[in-house]
Amino acid sequence: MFKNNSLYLVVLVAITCVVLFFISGCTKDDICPEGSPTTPKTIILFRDKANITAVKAVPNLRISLTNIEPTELLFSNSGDTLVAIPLSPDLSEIQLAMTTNFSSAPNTDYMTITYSKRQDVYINRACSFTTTFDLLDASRPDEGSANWISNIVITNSAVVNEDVTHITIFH
Amino acid sequence: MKTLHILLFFISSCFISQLSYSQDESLQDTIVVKNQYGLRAGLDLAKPLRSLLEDGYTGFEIVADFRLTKKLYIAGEIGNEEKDYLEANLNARTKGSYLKIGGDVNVYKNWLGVNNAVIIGLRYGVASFSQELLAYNIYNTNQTFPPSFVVDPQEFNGLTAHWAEVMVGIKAELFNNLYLSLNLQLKHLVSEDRPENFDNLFIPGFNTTNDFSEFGVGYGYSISYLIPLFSK
Repeated sequence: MFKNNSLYLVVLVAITCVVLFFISGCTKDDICPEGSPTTPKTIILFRDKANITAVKAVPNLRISLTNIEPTELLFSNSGDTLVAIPLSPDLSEIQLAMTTNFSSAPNTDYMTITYSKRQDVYINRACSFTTTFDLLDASRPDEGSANWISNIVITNSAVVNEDVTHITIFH
Repeated sequence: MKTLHILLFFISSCFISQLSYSQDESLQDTIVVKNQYGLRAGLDLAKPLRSLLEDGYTGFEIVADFRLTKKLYIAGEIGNEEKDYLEANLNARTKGSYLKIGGDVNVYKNWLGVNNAVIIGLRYGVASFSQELLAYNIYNTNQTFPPSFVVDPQEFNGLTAHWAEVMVGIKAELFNNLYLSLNLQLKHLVSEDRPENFDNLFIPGFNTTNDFSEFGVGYGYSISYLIPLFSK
């Protein structure tokens, strides 16, 4: 019927190709590689209120996120002078309950950080986008001598990476 | 009368012997095989089939070639494709048209009168397309907050891309002047317009792009008809 039997070869190769096309599974593009850029957290540095150039760890520090249900404990007994706080791209402020000496004489200051989304940044098709933030305000209600935090300063308002300090807390 | 018959017999036998003798002498080139050639045009079969089978894809392609010499052909494809990228973390849509121009070399030596081909082809491809970012997820290694999904359609129009392509393929003549072709393509991007703060996930004619290399792959499966303009 056909002019020659090359047809069978054509059909065979075609079927092979179609099968290969449909079974081809995971490629490198499907997995967001470890170490890819991610949405940055805001970095808080603790300094000594008596000597503002010196860093000072907070004894028995516990930080909870109080504006989400249920309240999320972020850090407990962190002896570091730096803490990293996540920000939600869907919210415009977070509230933190920052408790010092939580095991002996707990004293809690509630800090509110307000921010806006700066820009969504495309990474690649596996990771999709990350975002960055602009810090607008960071404060705690004034309770006079009951406050253990004496001052909060925004050192860098642009949260684009975790390499710099964004908020400095003096205590 | 009888002498005439005898004479005729002798004359005709002379002719026959002469004829057989001359046949021996010109054994070659008595059969003239005419090869028909001209413009071969057709349609890609894989793209309409894929349009039916795969959600989020539509495409078609017209293929054509024209014989320059017995081995060398000018060849090209023109087509249109629309492809959705719908993954959990990223939704986008690409649509546009493309043109590929180049040449095919037939490296297959046919038997007399048969017109099959094994081809090696080169193409230069140009696409004009738009990329639409529909929605995306914000990647965050921190799991404190629920994932943030942003639905904010943005369209990037007037994008172009250029690429070079090598292909290998076979063409078989099924019926008189009707050909079935299959080819596999390896492409390398030369240049592309990247949307601001986004990327080309797909380029019509080039196929799916790769985040970590400039290479792409494709295939063609087409049926074409030879319009016999010339006969030699």
